[in-house]
Amino acid sequence: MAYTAEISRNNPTCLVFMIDQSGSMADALPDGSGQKANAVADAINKLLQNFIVRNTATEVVYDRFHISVIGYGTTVGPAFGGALKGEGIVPLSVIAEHPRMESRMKKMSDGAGGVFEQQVTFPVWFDPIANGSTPMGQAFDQAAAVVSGWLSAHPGCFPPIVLNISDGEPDADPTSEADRLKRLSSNDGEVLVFNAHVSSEGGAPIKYPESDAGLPNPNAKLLYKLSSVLPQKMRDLAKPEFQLPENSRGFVYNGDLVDIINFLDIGTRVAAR
Amino acid sequence: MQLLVRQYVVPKEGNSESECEDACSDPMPDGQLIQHFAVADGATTSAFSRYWATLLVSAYSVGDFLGDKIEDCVSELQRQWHEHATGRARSWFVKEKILGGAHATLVGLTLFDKEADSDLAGKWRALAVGDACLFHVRNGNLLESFPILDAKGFDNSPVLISSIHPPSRVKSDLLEREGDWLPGDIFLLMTDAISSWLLSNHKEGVDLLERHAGTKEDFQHLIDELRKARDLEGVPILKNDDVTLMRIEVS
Repeated sequence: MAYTAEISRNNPTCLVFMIDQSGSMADALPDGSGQKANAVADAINKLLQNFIVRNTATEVVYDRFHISVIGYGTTVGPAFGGALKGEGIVPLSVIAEHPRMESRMKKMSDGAGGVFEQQVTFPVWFDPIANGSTPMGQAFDQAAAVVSGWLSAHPGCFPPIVLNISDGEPDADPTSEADRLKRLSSNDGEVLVFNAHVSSEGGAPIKYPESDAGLPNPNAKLLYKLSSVLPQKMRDLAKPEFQLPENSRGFVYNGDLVDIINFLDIGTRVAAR
Repeated sequence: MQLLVRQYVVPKEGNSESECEDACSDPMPDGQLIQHFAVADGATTSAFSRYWATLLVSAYSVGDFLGDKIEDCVSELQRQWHEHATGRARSWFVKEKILGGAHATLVGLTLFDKEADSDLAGKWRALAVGDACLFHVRNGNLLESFPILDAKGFDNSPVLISSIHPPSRVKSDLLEREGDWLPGDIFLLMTDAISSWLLSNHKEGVDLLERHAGTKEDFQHLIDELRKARDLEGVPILKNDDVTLMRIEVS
């Protein structure tokens, strides 16, 4: 059965994040919460933070995942900054050691119906960038190059996952590039491509739909079409939070992909209660 | 009540013994009229979970994790866990992890000696939170499995005892069972992966465990073989997870 390989330090897998850094990402979100580029930077920082914390055992980050981040806008290439600048693929524990810690005020519930502001620090690896066109197809090709290299060295791994975060306005239809990427495989199954759509149109989040019928615009429908169907094992692991039908795809409209970490089998989960 | 107690801990393949997140109580001295045993399984994705699991089994083994005392007991263990976790400077990701707390399953068994010269059976009581299991074996047959009856009853989200949630939750999450023991009976306390395997392989499983419940090397060999074996769909018949077995033979 496919998609059953263990994800462990002995048999790690690879995650590739594709970040849309095109000029259109400077557009404001309809709810007035800022630029789309901010939402994307927040989403990827939050995702990395979640992966690191979930893979921390006592005081060590387990390298069950190796991460590549590809930015696409004026250029297409590795998007890590700071000490990791130019790195193609980095073990999770190394990423954990190299964030910039930022303080922000966060609204918290006081438990009695009120709200108060508290200073919280959180790790930042990526800042918002919005420049140039949207060469999404080239980014898929570059992701395919990274994934191919990984698969040669790790043929028995859980299939690599490519997460694309974008406003879905590519220069050209990237379907053929995405399909080429999805045809790559390990012994345990084909590469999975998931998409998070940060839309200018706003609207309620839609998570892991089984058809594009309820999606509000052609860009959302395109990113849905590029997304892989979630394997049964991942749908089973999603169960405490999501009852996902058989054809659910790894696509989220106006939401983040943080749930994905819960769809991967890295040990006993602490269910939300 | 004469007891023969053996403990086996095999860490997940690829992990060292110090990375194992299961805990097993220490046997009590001989001659006690009431004896307590416990096994706990710290959740892989939680913080300082082995330490939490160890606190839980230690409390059970001295009779603190029982009846009306449970809520106060959990509250005190939470204080100890928090002190341990926050006692010194940590990296940002460890601090973040600590906010999510530690979580563990627990199964505990208490054996009561029968009255002197009595022909009556002795009594046992058990409690469980989550999917660590107790098996009661008599003459090679599985009499009872608790709290899970079927291999389908295991998933990645068992009920857990938390180091940060209100201690009152534990009382509503725990299940209890009691029964009688006879001389020669065997009780097995086990964490989830090996419990799930046993429930899929009842008779053969009990025989296999009994044949390999000798030296630690024997048991390690059995676990290695089970981890290598695949079912018809190519899935390992024993999930690669920490394995803990506490075997108590009573006479």
